[in-house]
Amino acid sequence: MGLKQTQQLLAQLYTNTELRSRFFANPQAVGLEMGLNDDEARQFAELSAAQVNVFANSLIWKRLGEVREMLPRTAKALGKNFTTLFWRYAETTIPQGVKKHREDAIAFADFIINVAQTEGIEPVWIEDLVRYEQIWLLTYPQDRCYKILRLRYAVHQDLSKKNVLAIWWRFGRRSPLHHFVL
Amino acid sequence: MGFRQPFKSDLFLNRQQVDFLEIVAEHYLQPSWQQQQELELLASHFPLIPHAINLSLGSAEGVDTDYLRQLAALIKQLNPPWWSEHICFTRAGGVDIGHLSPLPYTKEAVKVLCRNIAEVQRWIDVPLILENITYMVTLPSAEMTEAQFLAEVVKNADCGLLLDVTNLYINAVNHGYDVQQFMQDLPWERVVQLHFVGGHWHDGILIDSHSQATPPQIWELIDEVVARVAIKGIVLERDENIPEFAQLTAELQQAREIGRRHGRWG
Repeated sequence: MGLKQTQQLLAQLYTNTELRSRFFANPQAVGLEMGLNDDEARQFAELSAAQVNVFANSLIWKRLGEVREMLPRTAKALGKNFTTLFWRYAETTIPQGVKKHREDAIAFADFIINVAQTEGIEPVWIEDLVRYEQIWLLTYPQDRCYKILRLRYAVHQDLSKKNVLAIWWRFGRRSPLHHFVL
Repeated sequence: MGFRQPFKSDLFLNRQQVDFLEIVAEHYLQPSWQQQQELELLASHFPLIPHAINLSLGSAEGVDTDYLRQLAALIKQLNPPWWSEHICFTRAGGVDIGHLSPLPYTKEAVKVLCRNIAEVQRWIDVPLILENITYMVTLPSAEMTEAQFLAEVVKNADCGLLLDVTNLYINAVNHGYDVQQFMQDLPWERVVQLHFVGGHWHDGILIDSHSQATPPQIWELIDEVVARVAIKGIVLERDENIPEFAQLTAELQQAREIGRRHGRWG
């Protein structure tokens, strides 16, 4: 097996929890299933499950740290549930590219919104808050933008139940991002 | 000093205490106008050294040309005396691993690194220096030690070495090897720059979290390295749990004192 195949298998083991569990339950068989020959599978079976799991978990913790900084109020409001939800989300999504942490935070916000709508999570205003923080992430890097968000809770004040409109706009690359809430 | 947003104001208030900045190159790829302004502001007050983290020089699939084009443009804009990347891979099979991942210490990996570095050098003529990483996973099939691997890579690729003293210490602690033995195999003539900072312990593993003050063991190693080689720069890489700025500049001062004691700089 060449370095290319080795790296592809390692990348999968580092980022795919289900594959990692199956591999370390039966490394020889899963190795063969992934196209390794007997010798290669035997060699790969020498990988330490503990080491790979620690590294794989560190990747998710690293992502979580970055995303927490980008959705600070949501993180504070959800407390430990932010971590729990992120762990669920991270199993299904691997961000790519130069702006991957921002993309990760935006996608995680979508995940929270979806969970809030389908499972219902506390506090009741969390969906509005995460939507509000998500729009900041979406608009800030844009050269031009105009965005209106209708919310049911006063995310800019005391989070009381109240219809509000949040508005963002930027007219050009060099102009500042404007924002206010009505 | 490694530039980080949280201490930007303090940095400008104390700029005479910082000789140069290392910037994370990825933060300024595809920059917004605001990021471009920030970069120009930094460049007008400090020499800047770009430090790349996701070129994936060790990828057997080759480097990402789009990424390389953007990185080359940034480096051309800054025209630094050198720039740096890590000896690792971060991408394979369409997966962005999200962190620096170790390569097997094999001749094939040396060959792949040298091939990719040659490609990078066709785009970027500023000297590249390569950094040793920390690793949690020991890969099977090693044909040489980590130090021998580093030496082979920098020699064959004709690059300088960015010796991360903290990474060296952390690997030695976590994998139980002898630092002195490791240092015997290093190509000292190629060491250009150092990195240092402190990490934290978690479940019996020393984590390279860039989150603590530099511990005495790492200061001792810095002293030993600076005594051996006339390095051109030394960078504090504090990312997490950032303290008062005075604590950071105190660490820079301590590093300068080590250099002065060994007659390395004024």
